Amino acid sequence: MQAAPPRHPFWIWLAAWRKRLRPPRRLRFTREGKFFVGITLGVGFAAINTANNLLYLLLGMLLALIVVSGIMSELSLRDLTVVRRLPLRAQVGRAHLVEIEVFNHKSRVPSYAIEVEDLRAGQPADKRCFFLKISPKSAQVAAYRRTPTRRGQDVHVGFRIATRFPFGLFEKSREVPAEGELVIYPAVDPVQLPVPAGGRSPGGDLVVGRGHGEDFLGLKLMREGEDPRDVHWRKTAAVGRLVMRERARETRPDVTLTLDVLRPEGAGDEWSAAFERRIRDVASRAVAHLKRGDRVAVLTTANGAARADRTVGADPLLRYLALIEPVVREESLVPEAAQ
Amino acid sequence: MTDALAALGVLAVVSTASLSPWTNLVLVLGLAIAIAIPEAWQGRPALRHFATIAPLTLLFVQGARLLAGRSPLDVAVEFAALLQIVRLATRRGAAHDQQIIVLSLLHFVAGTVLGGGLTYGICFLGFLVVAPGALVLSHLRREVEGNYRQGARDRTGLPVDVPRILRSRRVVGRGFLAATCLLSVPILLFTTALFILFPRVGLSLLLLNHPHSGRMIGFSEHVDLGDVGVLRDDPTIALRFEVKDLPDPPTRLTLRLRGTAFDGYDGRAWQRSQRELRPAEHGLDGQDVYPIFRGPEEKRDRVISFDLEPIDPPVVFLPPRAVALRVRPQNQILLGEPLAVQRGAEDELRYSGSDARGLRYDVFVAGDSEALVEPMAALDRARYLALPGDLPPRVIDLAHRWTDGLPTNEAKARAIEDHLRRDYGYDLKSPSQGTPQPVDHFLFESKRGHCEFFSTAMAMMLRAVGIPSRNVTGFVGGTWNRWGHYYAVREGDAHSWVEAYLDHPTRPGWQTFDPTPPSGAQPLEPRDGAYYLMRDFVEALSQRWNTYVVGYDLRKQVRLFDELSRRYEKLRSKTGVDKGPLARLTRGPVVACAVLALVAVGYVVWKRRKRKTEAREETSSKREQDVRVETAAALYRALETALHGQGVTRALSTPPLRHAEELCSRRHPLADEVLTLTNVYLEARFGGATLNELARRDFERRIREIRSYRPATP
Repeated sequence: MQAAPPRHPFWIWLAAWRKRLRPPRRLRFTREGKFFVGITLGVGFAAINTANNLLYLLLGMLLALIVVSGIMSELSLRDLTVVRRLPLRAQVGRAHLVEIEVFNHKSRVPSYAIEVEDLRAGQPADKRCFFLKISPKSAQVAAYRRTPTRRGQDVHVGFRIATRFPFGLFEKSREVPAEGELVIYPAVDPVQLPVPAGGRSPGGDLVVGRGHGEDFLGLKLMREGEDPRDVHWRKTAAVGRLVMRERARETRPDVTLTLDVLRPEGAGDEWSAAFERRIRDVASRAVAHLKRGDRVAVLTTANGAARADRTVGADPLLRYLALIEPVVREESLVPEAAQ
Repeated sequence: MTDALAALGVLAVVSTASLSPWTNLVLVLGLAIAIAIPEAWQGRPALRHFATIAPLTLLFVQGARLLAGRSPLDVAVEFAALLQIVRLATRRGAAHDQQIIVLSLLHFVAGTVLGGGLTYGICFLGFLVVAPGALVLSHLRREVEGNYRQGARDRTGLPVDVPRILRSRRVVGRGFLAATCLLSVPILLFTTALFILFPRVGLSLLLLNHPHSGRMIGFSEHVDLGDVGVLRDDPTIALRFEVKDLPDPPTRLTLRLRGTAFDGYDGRAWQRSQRELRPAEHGLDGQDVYPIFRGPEEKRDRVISFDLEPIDPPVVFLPPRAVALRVRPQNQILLGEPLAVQRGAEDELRYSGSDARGLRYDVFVAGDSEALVEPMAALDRARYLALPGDLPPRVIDLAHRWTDGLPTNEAKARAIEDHLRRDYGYDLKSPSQGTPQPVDHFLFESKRGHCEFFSTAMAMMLRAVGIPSRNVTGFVGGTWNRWGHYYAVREGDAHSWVEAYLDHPTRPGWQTFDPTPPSGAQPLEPRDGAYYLMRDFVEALSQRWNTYVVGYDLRKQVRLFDELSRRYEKLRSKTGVDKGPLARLTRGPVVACAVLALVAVGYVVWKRRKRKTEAREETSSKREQDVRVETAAALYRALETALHGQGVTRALSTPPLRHAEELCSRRHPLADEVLTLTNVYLEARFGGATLNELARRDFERRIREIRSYRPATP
């Protein structure tokens, strides 16, 4: 990755001033608001041109409604705190719920018709929650359902709290920063794995332990309730007590899945699509192997690696695969996620 | 609330337009039915078809009526009102509610150009109260409908019941409705402030006020005998007048207000032989002052202020001994005809121009001691002595019989007046009306009639004995309105009398004679009772509305600010700050700038304090959070050390909760305790829970117990 060139102090200064001068609230006309303002302007024009006092009265009322609308919407938007509750994990193609909780800290005034948009970095704000009424000193929870379409890190940067209350003429909004991260795992498809060969496989689990495999681990005195088919009769006769075979645990082979992450120079979108398909395939196979009890290692062609077994679950592998990025062929950098 | 808004809009537009009573009745009935239709019926196919067909049918019908020659204004008003009624009857959902609100607003806009009397004002006030609530409710309904679509489910998986939400008292309770209605108070204040302060710099290009002028009998060019009597029972206000400096206003002030006069009588009708009008001469003092005998003298003359309703023909009514007129102009149309006062041949004044709101003027009345001389040209004398050719001779004979032997013309005139008053009866249903010779029939046959018969008979008899005379129409009346502090003259006070020209040696001129018996010449009696009390109240309110709202113009605005400035200066001089060094500091602009500067400084201080408070709260909250997190982490580290002593270690990749759960699944004897302490740690570390001193000590005690745990030996 190339480091961004340092910005000129003028631009930094300009950005700071722009941020300072940015109004704390944003105002947008709704369709009804445009009509309303049009009527107001028309009445004002007619009042000035005709000197008809009743039109001045109407103009005053219409302008007063606009002013009251501004004050009421400000009251509704004030003293609200928004909290986001992200799920523990999310996966491409599978819907997950994001809970939004809004606290109204005002002591007397309820907030009406509050709309909260969850802002994500670099993505359009398409998910919002609506709160019809949030009573004073209380909170309301709503949730939105989202189905991610691409793996990676989903960075939530804040909320846009908006209201069209009280008359629906304008939409007043403010943005509040609230960071949050959610790693979107790659999609996992069901995979039919071949039946594993019996017996102890090379590699695999190095820990020797008791189990129900084919290999013998040793002999032991039989205890009540144990299967009499494993009685070692020769030793039993020699010892004079029931001695039985102790079987070794069945072992699974270490499954190593390799992922090519080296991107040839000049590779286009097709390579990216194929890369995503490979990740999806590796993830699917890894999960299938883990479900079967295999220990899985994912190795990348850029020297990256991640391992998981049944005890830790698929999270380490899926997280690794979620964050993995292609590496340009000339470079042999280990992805940050792998470290 | 939307229903109320729609009803107010329809009433505002219908009440200001001059629709027929039947049309008004149909509209009001339609409105009531539309409001009464329950919302549950809106889904019925019949209403849905009606919603589609009715507006189109209305459009065609009204279009056809327009082509048939009906008044475009009436057709448009009816169409707007009926459209609202149809929409109200077939409304479904928030979108239709908003259409109704917009239509209602447009009705109010239309009402302003149609006239806007007191009814409009009351409807407007109602609109102010109801509009915020209606707008808020329709908006909330729209939000609910938009956000909880059909088939949506809540968090528990149950379908969202939109009607239940809309009916919920928890969302829209009494307090909510009261608060939205109370919003009308600041709206009213803002509206009033803007109304007063907005500069009236209008060009009046399009003053479309619908004229309310009703044609009034008795003041046109040609008046048939017997017409004025029809007006006697009409209580409609024709004009109001105020007499300044009346210490104790009487309940009835009988003021004879001269409108117009007629010189020619053809045996059945009065008319004017000279119809041309010439512009009245302006006074030297100002363009709006018109001398009648002389210029006004504020100190010497009594001033009577008139507020004349728009009547047709536009006659200016004058009290006796009026010497000058001062017109108080209202809004003038830039491209229209300017207001002008004209003088007719019979000493009558008329006004012209596009001001359809009547006329406001002051009349200067000379005192009784002042002689007002009215010379008459010899050419004019003949037309005031002309008798109709077919006048029966016995009328002339009767005149001579009553007056022969009397020394002066005044005595003769008085004798005729006395005879008519004494020997003849007042009767509104005059039997002489419609006869070939009404005067003859009145004098010799019926001997009963109303004022026109008396005045015509006297004028003819005066002419018969050689005294120039003319018939005059006007008003006699004035009933005190206790609410409005003015005298009201109604159309029922219309009257007819006679002016005779008397060649008095010192003060020749026209003298008024009223031959009608006192019972008929009296103005409408002031009456008591709740109805009349209420009527007076409404009339006073209407007058105030017209004066202070409809008639508020640049002049009044300037006068208002002048008055404020004058009071401020008065206050300065009273408090003694208009002298010395304080004089400059207390000048209006300086004070205004100081107030503005104070407001600005106050805002900056408030903003800065608010920012500091927020920063302090944020820092304090962060510090508290750090302490809490550190305490929880330290306690958990101590727990892990204790577990390590018991041979239980946690892999770095295993989260605390999973580690505790694994111990439980392995049925470790310390598992339950570890799980409990882990949950306490997680709540403090991530859940925002606070570990107080007691909880911390308890945590540490349990860690010590874990450290000292020894498994039971078999």
